[in-house]
Amino acid sequence: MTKTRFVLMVVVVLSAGLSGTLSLASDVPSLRSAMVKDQIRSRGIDDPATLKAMGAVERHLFVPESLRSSAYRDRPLPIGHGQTISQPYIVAYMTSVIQPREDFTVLEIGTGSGYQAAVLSEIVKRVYTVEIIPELAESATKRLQGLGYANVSVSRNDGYFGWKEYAPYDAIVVTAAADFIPPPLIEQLKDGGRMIIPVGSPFMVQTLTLVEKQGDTITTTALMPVRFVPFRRGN
Amino acid sequence: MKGYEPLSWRLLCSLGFLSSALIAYQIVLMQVLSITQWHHFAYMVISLALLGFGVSGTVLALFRTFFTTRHEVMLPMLMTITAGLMATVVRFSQHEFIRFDSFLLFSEPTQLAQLFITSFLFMLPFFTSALAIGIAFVCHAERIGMLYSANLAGSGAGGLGVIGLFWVLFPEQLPAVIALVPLGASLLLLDRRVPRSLLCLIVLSGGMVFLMLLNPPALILSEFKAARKALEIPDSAVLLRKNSPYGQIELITSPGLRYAPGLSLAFTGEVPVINGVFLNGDWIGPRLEMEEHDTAKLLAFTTKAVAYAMGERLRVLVLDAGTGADILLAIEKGTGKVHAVEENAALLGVLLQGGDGLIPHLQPTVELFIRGSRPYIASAASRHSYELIMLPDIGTFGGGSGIGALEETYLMTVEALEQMWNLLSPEGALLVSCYRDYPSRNPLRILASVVHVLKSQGMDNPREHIAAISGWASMSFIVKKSPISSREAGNIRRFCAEMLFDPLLLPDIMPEERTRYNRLMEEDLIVLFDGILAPDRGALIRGYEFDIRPITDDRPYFSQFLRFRSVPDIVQRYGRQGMPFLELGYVILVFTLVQIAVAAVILILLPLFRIGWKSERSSRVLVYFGCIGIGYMFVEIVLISKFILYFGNALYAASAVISCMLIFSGVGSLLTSRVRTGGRGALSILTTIALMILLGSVVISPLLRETMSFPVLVKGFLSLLLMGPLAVLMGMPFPLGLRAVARREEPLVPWAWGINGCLSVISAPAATLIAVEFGFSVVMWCAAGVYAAALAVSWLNRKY
Repeated sequence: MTKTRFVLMVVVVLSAGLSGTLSLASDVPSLRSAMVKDQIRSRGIDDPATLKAMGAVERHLFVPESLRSSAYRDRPLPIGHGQTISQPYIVAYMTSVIQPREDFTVLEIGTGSGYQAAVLSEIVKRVYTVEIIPELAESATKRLQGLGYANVSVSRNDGYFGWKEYAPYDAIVVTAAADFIPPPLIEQLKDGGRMIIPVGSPFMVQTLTLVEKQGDTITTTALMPVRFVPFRRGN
Repeated sequence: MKGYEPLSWRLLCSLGFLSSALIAYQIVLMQVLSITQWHHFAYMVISLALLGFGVSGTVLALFRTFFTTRHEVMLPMLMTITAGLMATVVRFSQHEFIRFDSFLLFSEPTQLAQLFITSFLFMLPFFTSALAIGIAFVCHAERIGMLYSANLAGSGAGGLGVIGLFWVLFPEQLPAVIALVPLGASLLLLDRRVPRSLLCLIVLSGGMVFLMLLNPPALILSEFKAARKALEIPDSAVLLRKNSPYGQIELITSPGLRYAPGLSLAFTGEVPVINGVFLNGDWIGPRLEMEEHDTAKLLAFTTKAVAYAMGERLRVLVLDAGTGADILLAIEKGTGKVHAVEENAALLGVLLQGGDGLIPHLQPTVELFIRGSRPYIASAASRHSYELIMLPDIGTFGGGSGIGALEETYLMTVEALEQMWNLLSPEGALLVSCYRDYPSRNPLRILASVVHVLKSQGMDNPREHIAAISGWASMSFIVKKSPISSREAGNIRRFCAEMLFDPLLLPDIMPEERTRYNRLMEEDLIVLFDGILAPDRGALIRGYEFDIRPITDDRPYFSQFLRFRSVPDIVQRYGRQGMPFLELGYVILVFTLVQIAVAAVILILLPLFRIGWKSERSSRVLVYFGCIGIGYMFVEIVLISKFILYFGNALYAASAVISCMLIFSGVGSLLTSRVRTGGRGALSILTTIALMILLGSVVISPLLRETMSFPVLVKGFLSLLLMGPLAVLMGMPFPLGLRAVARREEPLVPWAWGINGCLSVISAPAATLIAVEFGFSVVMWCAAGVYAAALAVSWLNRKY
């Protein structure tokens, strides 16, 4: 009997551990500050506003419950419907690259779980975010409202069209890679505005590309390839 | 031990049926996994599953008496179990607790367990059926020639039969249909008095097969596959679905599907919604209609359009035309005559049925050739000349992470480019496009390849013939037969300025114009480009951290860039985690080989605890059966590759080669009853095989190249002539060896069967690895070498 009970206990503990359903350690703030220090600041991101926002947003509330114990790990996580929540470093990098300011109005394409929008909303005046998958748009809206992010608006629509009603935008953050940059997004970007877009799959090598608009001239800069950690060509 | 005396026709037939079902099932599983996951993971899972052959040998060696004394019941019982397993394991593998997702393997440790369970599940039918075959072989080792012949001929027929089934049934329906075959095979073996347990099993298994026929399992695609993602969007639907030997093709409508790869940022129009075509769940292109002027217009805003900006093109050849985007671009640019080549007849069928509008392939100015691009190039050499040849895009958007590392790219080999060169008019040009990648690999290999060809064609200064331009996501290379004139260079510059693209290579390129609009992540790409164009390019190409050497027909892996010697440097630069993501396909191949090798060693050693370790004969049996297992697979894999190039149709060529080899080998096996084991005849068979393989490694490639333009029927006849005699001989060593072992040391017979199974499974990834590193010729030499080793063992054992 004792043996059977022991085996049962082992099975329960193992299966709980494997499925990631163990409750998150109680010290969430320290996990978050460790994430900021070890995964973000140590890799060269020193924009104070970005670091503060990354330290403030409760990332574990934006991932599926079964993956909460991995929320602050240095990797992207699946959120269903073939979508992911980017790893913390990428969110921070994309945020810092657009050089966000308090008076900015930012458009995000691909709301996903709403995490990137929440980080942006900690810094800028207004965030508009568009998500094409209804289930994700709905859950992100509820989550963001529930967490008190009042300056974020979510639209269930095709990101191709952007959100013309509130254009032009100081910056556009595209979180889902596409093999072309939709012309309406270029049009809705302010003169002097910046757009950041990942090229490639979230689980493989992505190249973050910065698009800058100066009058009729649009230039692109391939910033860096990333996976779980930044790849940098050494000397 | 009681056997079927004389060897019963029922046993031979049921063995043949079982073997045919087994190979058909293997091919179906490959398709199922390619649809739900990806091809490279399918390869790994199937390789692990095929270890069931090795396991059967081990189990039989350990419990030989148990199985052989009950063989009259065990054979139909195992066949019945095989039928039940074949019908149901795919359904079990789709259960949410078992289903794995390749993408999540790198982020969720539990996925590894699910991958293991899936592989184990798929191994079961291979194990039970191989056990049945093994029992038959052990019980009738003296008549092995006939049995092995039935086994090989059945396998060959199964390979051909399943190709036919792919046209009429969907992948989820096929496992249950194939399961009927072993069920029938088991019924064939039943005597008048059937044990009640066996009867129950037949009813149960039959019931499961029947259930699965009525209610086939739904195949659940990885949520990261393109088709699944498209269908996640509201109002999306599958308009048309067709299965074929090329794979499952779906036409999907979705309000989120748009097509404009690498579109210029200067484009201000609308990118229209299109219907997309997906092959095994992966995007292959849009379904284009001539009425869709928007798509045609936006194609003019991609880097490919530079070929038309240079000057007028009257005759254009589009190779591997696919869904027709390059044809549409050619028509949009007013090309007088377009020749389009596409081998996938099923794809064309879906495009035709998918709507009312006229597809680009059927425009009056377009002539469509349904055949492989390489045979077309070979046959067109004396009849046509073109002002532009458009090659299919290289790589995938955002970089392929090495996924395609093991795909043979016969259109980018030096031989192919030289053949294309001869098809160009004096002012003609080749157009090759690729997506930008990091670290740079695809553009560098393209440039190295075209420079190699230009030099081989006597062009002293390749720089005068090459132009390359870059957008934010893609690059296009133009390789012109005559030097690029200043007028053409001016046209390219104007085109780039209008499109916000940058010229990277022109005969008179200026440093400041190379990254005006699109700044590269690493400026040294330009330095590398210039280095490849310099006279001392060899040192640069040899010294680069990735393999960017031009590829050849003997080593046709364009997307394989990994150099073993660079692995420490790459790990240091990109981190250990970065490796699989840079060269995933190759890493999976090595990983598969290591897993199988470890498992095979265990499976081979285990029976020795029972048989004994010190027997000299054991080591000879190990070497002999290991060698002939490896040799057979090595030759088969090389021939498949050669005939894919020859016929231009991967699937039919592979099936035809496998089936013909097996059937011819079956004939060979049948003839062994007239050959004395250990005699001069057996030795001369192995000698002849080794010599024929050596000869083949030298003559097959040139012979196939010279006759590639011949009509298909003539080519088929030549192929049989080339393959037949060798395959007949290669079917002999296994039955001869097994008969010899049965005479002298019967307990070793099941062990020999297991060794042959294990080594055959290892051989497939091993041959690919050798081909990737050294080329197919070396694989052939290795095959000759292992047959020579088997010969040496036979010589030592010649007394019996």
